[in-house]
Amino acid sequence: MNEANEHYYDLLAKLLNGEATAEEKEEAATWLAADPARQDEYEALKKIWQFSGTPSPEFDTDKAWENVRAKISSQPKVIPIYRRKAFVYAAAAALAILIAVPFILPYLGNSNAGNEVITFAATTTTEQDTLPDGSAITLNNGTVLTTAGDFINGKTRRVKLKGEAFFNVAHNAERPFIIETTNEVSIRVLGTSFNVLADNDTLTEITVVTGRVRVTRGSDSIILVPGESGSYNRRTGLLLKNENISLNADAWKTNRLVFKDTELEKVVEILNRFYRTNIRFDNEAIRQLRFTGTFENEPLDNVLEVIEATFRIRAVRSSSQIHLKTDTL
Amino acid sequence: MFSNEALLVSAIGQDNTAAFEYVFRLYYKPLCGYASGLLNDRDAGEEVVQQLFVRFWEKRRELQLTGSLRAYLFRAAHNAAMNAIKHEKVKQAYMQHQVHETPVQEQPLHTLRAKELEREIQAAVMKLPEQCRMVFRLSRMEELSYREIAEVLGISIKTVENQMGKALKMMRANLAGYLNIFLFCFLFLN
Repeated sequence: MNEANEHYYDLLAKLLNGEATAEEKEEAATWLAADPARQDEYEALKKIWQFSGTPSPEFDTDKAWENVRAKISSQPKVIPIYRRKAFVYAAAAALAILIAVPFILPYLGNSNAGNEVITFAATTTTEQDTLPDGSAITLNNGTVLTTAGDFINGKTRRVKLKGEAFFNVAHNAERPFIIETTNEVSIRVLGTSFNVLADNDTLTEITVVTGRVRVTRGSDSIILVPGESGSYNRRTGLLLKNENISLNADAWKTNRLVFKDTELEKVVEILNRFYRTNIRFDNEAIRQLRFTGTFENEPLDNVLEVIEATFRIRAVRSSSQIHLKTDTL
Repeated sequence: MFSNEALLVSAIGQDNTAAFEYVFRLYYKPLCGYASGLLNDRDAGEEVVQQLFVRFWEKRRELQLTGSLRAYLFRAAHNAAMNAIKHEKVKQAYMQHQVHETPVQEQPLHTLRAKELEREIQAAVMKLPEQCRMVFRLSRMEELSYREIAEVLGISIKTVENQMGKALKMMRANLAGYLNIFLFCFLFLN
């Protein structure tokens, strides 16, 4: 390649970065196909690419968090703005009660104290609220959360969730906190916990920040501890615990798959989920290979091609499966 | 994992320390990796990032994000690190590293392994011009998109494209010898 071809380096860099548009990919493919030396050059760049993606050195996040937490909690307390607004709210509430009383009164006789279903909904903005047990919730817009009828005095504290929310669950070992999602996944909070939950028609995702949770779908069950995440995918029917899944948690929406020093075994697990395919390992040793790369809007064939080229392995198709095996020279 | 980072930012804005901790744990390591790389000093990088998070918490109520939270935090880390470089002591260490050439040691073919290529590549990264290096690091080590890199460094996406191409080209030239040997070896490693 000579100086005049600088444009092509930009292009190949975009290709490697997953930033190339369909036209650019085509342009690159045509250009590469014209000369085998160009293909060799691309292979060399790919190697640089692959080996420069080393993960950050280890830093002690726990220790650092202790430092930062000490600093932010020693700051003088600022009176939150919303507290100053309390009078306004109080006045509004009084007014609302005054107006509402005539309508409420006829129903009071029927209401069974403590057995009411409470619905929290965030429509256009995110909302923060507190459940009757003191647990704090933050709901994303478009999220609805409903407490069970016996939330206050039942054996368990049950809520139903549709959407995305944070839970800061108040500890009560006697009465476990259980979140049920639209995908019939049930999340049981074990101990004081702060959890993140995203749920839609296809996917339920859970990330645990503190405490422990048990996630159950049908007869499957996993336990998640801080830093871990898990997901249930309705399309594949799989309930999985995986740090790598969180990196690709919204792949179904973005069509973007990101792997960072990920074991090939995990890569395949994610590809199987994403492409609804069945890739198997014929050689055990290659499961442990570590792969780094990003794919955006790529058909499975292209992804496999990159993996084949990176590790010199072959993907062999049979009727219902794809077998990964070492490439015998 | 969040499609809507507004949720996180909003929760932090409402004094939710758990949401703050979540963001901290999510971004602490990559931010330290980036800041330490810029400062060429591990401890200084951690210091910068911890201060950044303390300030982030202090300013939580007036926080207005236009782009992604990740780009916002990287931009903050970038600016903080560049400020720190202005301090004389750190500046000296930085300058020293700039002129310091990594000695290239001849290696017998059979001992050349992926680890060594990785090291050579790291050395080649350090030899890149400043903007090139920042773009390359943000892309490869921290996996930011072109758009996010443009946001962090305050440059156009077009410039990111050019700098990326330039970085690859320079590294390719720098590593010519190593790569040829390596590609040759690679055929026999597997």
